Amino acid sequence: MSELDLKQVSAEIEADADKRRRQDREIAQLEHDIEQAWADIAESESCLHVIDEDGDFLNQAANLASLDPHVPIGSRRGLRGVKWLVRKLSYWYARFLTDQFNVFAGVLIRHLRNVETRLGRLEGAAGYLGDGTVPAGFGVLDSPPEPSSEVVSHVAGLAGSGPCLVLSGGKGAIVEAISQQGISVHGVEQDPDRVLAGLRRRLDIRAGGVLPHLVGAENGEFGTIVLTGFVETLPLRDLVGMVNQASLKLKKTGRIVVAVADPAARARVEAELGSGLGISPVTWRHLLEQAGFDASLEPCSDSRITEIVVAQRTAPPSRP
Amino acid sequence: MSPTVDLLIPQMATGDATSNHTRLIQQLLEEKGLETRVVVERKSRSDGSDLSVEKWKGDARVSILQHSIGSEVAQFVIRKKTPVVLNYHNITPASYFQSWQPELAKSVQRGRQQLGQLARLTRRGIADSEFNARELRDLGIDDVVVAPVLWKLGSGVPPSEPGDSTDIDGGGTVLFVGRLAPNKCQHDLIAAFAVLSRFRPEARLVLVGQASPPQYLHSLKSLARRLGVHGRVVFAGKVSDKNLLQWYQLSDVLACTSEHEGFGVPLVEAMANGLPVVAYDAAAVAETVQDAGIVIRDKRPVTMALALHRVLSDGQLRQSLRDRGVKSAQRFDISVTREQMWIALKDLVEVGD
Repeated sequence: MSELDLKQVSAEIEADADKRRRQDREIAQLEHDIEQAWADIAESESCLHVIDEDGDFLNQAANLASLDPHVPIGSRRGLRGVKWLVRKLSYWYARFLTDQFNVFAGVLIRHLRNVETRLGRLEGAAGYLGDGTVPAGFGVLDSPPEPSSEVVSHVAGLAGSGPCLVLSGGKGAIVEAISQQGISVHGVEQDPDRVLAGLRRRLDIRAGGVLPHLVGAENGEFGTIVLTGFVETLPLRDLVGMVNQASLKLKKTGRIVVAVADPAARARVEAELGSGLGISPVTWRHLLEQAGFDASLEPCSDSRITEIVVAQRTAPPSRP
Repeated sequence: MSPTVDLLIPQMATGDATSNHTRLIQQLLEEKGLETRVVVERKSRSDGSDLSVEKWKGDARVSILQHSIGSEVAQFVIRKKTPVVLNYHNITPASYFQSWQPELAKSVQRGRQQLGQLARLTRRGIADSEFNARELRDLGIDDVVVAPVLWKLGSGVPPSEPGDSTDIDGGGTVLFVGRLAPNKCQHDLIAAFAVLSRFRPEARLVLVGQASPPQYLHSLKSLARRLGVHGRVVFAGKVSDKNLLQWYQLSDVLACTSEHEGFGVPLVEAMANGLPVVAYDAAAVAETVQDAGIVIRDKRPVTMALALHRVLSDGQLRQSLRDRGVKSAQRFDISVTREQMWIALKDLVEVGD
C-alpha cells in the first residue's frame, strides 16, 4: 500500500468531480446554489462589524469607552520626556472624558437592556421562538448533571416507537440505552464537551440548541421525544414553546417523556440562582395535559429525579 | 550587563503558538549556556517577559524578532535601526480581512510595511517554511534559513497501531483545527460538507478554534443553517490541549480549505495523531503535508466533498495516509526542530566565545 500514488489519487478525485459536474446537472446546480448562498451571506453580514457571534450589541457598546493610554512613547530621551508629559496630561483629560461618557453610556445601556427585556417578554407572550436559544440559566444551572443509571434505564424503558429524539442528549447515556433496544434515536446537545463525549462513543449526538432543532424538525417526525438535561434550566416561556413544538413534531400516537429534577428540591444556592428557571414534574404534567396529552407521573428510584412524566397523545395536535 | 540574546515579541500569551515558540527558543539557548531576555511591548509580571521595549537599548549580541502582524516592537527595531535575526511567521494578506475586520486589515498592512523596512536590518531570516523563506528572499534578504515553528507535538496514537480498514458507514467525522477566519475559508469547508452530506448523511463536521473576527463565525453559522447542515456542524470553539488531542483521535479525517498558511501546525498535529489529511494546495500546505495527505488543487464544494468521501470510504487509503502521516510528522518532532533552530542561530550567537 506504501506505493500508493497520492498525486494520482488527487488527480482522480478532481477528474471525478469534473465528470460529475458535466454529467449530473443536479450536482452542478447544487454547487452553484451553495456558492451563491455564501456570496449572499458574506455580502450581507461582513459589514456588521459591531455584532459579535451572539449578536450582543449591548455588550459591545458597553466597551466603547475603554481607552488604552499605555502605548510606547519613543526612544530618544528628551523627546521621550516630552511625550511622557503630553501623554500623562492627555490621559488625565481623556480619563475625565471617558468617565463622563461611561456614565452616559451606562444609563443608556441600562435603558436599552430594559427595552430588550420588555421586547423579550412581548415575544414570549406572542409565542415567538427566537434563535438565541442558549438557556438563560446561571452558573451551576447551565450544567445539569448527567442522568443516573436509574433514570437512563427508566427513560429507555418508556421510549415507545421511533424515531426518538432526546433533548438534550448530554453525553449520550439515554441515546445509547434507547438505541440498544433497536429504536432509531438521536440526541441534541449544545455543550461541545458533551457532544465530544458522545461522539467518542460513536453515538448520534448532534450539536445545537434544543429549541431550534425541534423547530427545524418535520411535523409528525418523531415517535418519542425525551425532554431532559438542559431543559431543566429553561425559563417558562421557552418550556411552553417547547411543549407546543414537541406536540407538533410528534406522530399521532407519539409520546413525550420528561425526566427533570424538581426545582423545589434544589439546594439554596441553586434555588436562588435558578429562580424562575425550570418547572417541577407536576407542572410539566399540567402543561402537557393542557396541550392535549394524557400525562401521568411515574416514580423513579433516582435521588435527584424522583418522578418521570409520561405523556401520550389523546387529541389531535393544535398549533401554538 | 546586556545578555547575549534578546528575544523580541509583541506579547507573551498563554496558548499562543508564537509565544510558545519563543519560550522554547529561550529554553534552547539557555541550555546552550547563553544568557537571554524576552522583550515585549509592555512587560507583565506573569507572562515571563523581562523588559518593555521602551527600555530596550538593542545592545545584545543578537536580537531575534518574531514578526507577523504589525507591532510596536517591530517599530522600535526600525526606529533604532538595530540589526536583527528576523523569525518570520508570515502575514495574511489584508484583503481577507478588509470587509470583515478593517482594523485587523490595517494591522496586517502595517506588518507588511514593517517587513519591508525590517528587510534592510535583517542579519538573517529564519522562516517556518520554504514558502515563507521565498517571501523573505523576494524582499532582498540573502541569508534565509528554514527552521519550523518549535512546539511540542502531542500524539496519542503509536505509529504501529492498526487503523480501521473498512468504510465508515454513512458517516464519519471531518475535523478542522485553527482560527475561524476568512483566510482559513471554513465557509468552503461547510459548503463541501453540505455536498458530502448527500453522499454521507450521517457525517459530522467539527470546527475547533476561536473566531477572529466574530462576525465571520456568525456568517458560518448562517451558512450552515442555510444549507441545512447546522445540526451536524459542531462549533467547538477554543479547546484545551487535552480536548484537542481527543478531537484528533475521535475524528476520521482532517480537512483544510485554507488559502493562506505560512506553515500549518494542525496539519502536522493531525498527521502525528494518525488522522488522514485532505487539504487544498495553497501557500505552505503542500510543503508541510508532502506525500502524506491528499492535496487537491480545486476546492470547489464537489471536489472537496469527493476527496473527503474517498478517504472516508476507502479503508486502505486511510491506512496508507495514517502510516505516512505518522512517519512524516516526525520531521517536526521537537528534538528535530530544536536542532534545526540551533543550526540556524549557532554561528551568530556563539561569535566571540
